[in-house]
Amino acid sequence: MTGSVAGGVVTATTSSLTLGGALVSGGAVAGIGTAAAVTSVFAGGLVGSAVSQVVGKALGAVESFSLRKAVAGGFTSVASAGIAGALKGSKSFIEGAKKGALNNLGRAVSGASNVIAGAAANKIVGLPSGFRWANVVANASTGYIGGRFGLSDQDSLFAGVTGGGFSQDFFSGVANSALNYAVTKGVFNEGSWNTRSVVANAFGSAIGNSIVAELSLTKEQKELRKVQNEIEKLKDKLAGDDVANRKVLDQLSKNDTGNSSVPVDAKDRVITIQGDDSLRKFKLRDLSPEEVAKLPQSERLKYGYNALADVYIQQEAAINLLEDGGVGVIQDIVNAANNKDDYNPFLLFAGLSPEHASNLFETHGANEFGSILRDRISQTSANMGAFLETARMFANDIDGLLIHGPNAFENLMLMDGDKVATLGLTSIAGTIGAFTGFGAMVQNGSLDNDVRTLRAMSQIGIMAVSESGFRIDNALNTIGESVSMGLWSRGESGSGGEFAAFGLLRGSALKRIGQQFAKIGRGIKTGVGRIWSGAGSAVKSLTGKIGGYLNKLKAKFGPNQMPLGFGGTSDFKLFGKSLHGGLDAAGFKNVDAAFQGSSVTGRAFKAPHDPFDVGRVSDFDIALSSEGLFEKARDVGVGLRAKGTRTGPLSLEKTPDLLERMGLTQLSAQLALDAGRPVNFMIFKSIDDAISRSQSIILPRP
Amino acid sequence: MLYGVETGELDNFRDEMEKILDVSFSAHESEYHGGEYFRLAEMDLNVILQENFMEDDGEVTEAEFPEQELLIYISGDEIRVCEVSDVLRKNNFSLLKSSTY
Repeated sequence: MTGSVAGGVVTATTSSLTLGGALVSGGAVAGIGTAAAVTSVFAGGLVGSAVSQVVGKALGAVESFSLRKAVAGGFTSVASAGIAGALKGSKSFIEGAKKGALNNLGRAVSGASNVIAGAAANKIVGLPSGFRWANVVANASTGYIGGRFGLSDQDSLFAGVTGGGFSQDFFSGVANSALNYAVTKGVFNEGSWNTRSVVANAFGSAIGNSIVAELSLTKEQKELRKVQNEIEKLKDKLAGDDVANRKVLDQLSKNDTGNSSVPVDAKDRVITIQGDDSLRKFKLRDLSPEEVAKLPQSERLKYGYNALADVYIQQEAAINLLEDGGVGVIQDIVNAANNKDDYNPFLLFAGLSPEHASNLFETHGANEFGSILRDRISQTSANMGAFLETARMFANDIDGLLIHGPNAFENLMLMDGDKVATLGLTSIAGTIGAFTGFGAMVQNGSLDNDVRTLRAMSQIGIMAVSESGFRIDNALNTIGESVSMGLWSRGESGSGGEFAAFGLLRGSALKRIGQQFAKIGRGIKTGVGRIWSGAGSAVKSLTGKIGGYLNKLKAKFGPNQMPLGFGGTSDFKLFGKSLHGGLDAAGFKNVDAAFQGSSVTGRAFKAPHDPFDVGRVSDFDIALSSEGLFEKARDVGVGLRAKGTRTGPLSLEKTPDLLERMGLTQLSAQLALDAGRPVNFMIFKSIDDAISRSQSIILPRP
Repeated sequence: MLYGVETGELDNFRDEMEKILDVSFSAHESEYHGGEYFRLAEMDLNVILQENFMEDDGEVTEAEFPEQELLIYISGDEIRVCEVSDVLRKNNFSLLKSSTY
């Protein structure tokens, strides 16, 4: 149901229409198609009119309350919603192809029609119609001019459910009345300005809008509301735990686990995996599972985050070692597999049992076995990274709460409630997504079932999806479970556990900063994508910009990376050589290229965000950019999008004609053949535009 | 050629198309295609089934046809494309645009 009541345009100044009848401005109304929708709009109009009358009476603008006027307000609102919906069916009245928004002309027609609807509604309930052509013209002008100035811009917040909340609706109503008066007086020399009537009218309309907005909430918006309620509960809970939480923070601050003395190579990459005493000194981690279970929830959150962050850092170190360690590293891993070492970190991170690993080595040989290990670890690492980022955002919220006092959260809510709620949703969605990713890998056989840590993660993911949905308390429990899981894994190893024994591995401060930027970028991008439908557009825009900026940093300065889907570094380099060679041959020199999509993120674009190549073939999405290439695309008629900064996707299957005109048919076919999967291009005006749009791995020029 | 469907769910639509064309589509995933999509790739015929999804610039993939929820792209050998096109027309699918090269 998308109908809504917003921005009353009743001509209270001329006292010609039903006072306070909430009317539809049409800014984002898609029409009312169901009985429930009609009922909610009618209720909004009726109550809006009633409230206007009550307020008007209090202000002395109305002599007595009229139920007929209130009912007329309801009818008028329904008719207005219907008119706006009908207008949306015509391209002449909507803003381009954008769904849900009338253009200024549409607003003008809607405004004029509302006067007629109001007159008809008055007649239905037995009141004088109050119809005047001057009002028709005034309302049409108000709709048009108001649209030009952004009054009642229903796209501004909350996906167009209202004009942006009660206060915006109210002031919008006052501004519209002022415009209406200006036109009526200026053109027809009619009407009079009555501040009391205007205020009463705007107040009633805003109330009516709020009622319809409440009844019109989509499923996602209701979830958002639930999350906000959960945040309130969490706030109360945390206030109770404040003393205990402060102790935890003190303890954490005294146990900095940072260590910059880990051996690194000339490229500033960790070159060995070894223990770190600082981790052992971290007393919190010596607690038993039972003791952890007794900790306040926020404390467990921090504990779990740090334990899993260790794993993530080591996953990255393991990938580096596999790339640079040569045969010696592989041989060590094979020896561990032959010795049935369940807790060899490489096998653990790759989700391989020792038996499976031995078989893979015998079947494929050392080089390919190394590539398989690296690809598998990259997949699990990507999932872990997303999870950690969302957990970190949560942890920071709690830090803020504890450091700034019990009222900090409330203040934050007052300052920017949407942001806080969005953050909560992001965290939960990311958590569920990450664990679901692990779960999917286990279920699809990508990871061995006998690796207990990952199996536990899978179970947590399934639980999160099937039982908890978007609930903050369950997400916290999920993270708490992670802690128990980490402890349990440690206990099973008999020697302090791998998570503890291998400790934290860190490169230089620069490397750490780079990793943080990379993770933040990935987390924000992931989160924004998942809550797109429920978040406000303002928040979306802000986080999108931050995500884009961080993506740029990561693509340009992050550690060397390789997209998923390649057998090894040599295959990746060969692919790059073919791409750039083919572009050169087609006459396009110095083209920048970047991988995008699931080969970079490790997960599908849409929920449930399955891992790369699991359950279906993941394509290679490649962004291309050079001045010559972009001009050629434009010259041969490739349509531009996103304010002229990029083309749409180009592929052999969807746009063979355009690729042919670009002279890229042969190259596209050859790359698909080489990669064993479809290759899709998108041409950008600049590579920065591409990187800002989506997480990317730049393909080095040969 | 591009055909469109005004309402429908992609998975169900794939089943329907497999029955109509007596073929089997394979599942693919691409950010540029809006997530999961389905593909028939033969030597002389390519058919893509995907959503007319809302892109990052606020417009749907085929912005000229915002009312279409699902899209069918057909390319390949002219005769095969015409065969498929005939079948779709008989089943009341809307032809949105066509081009040759």
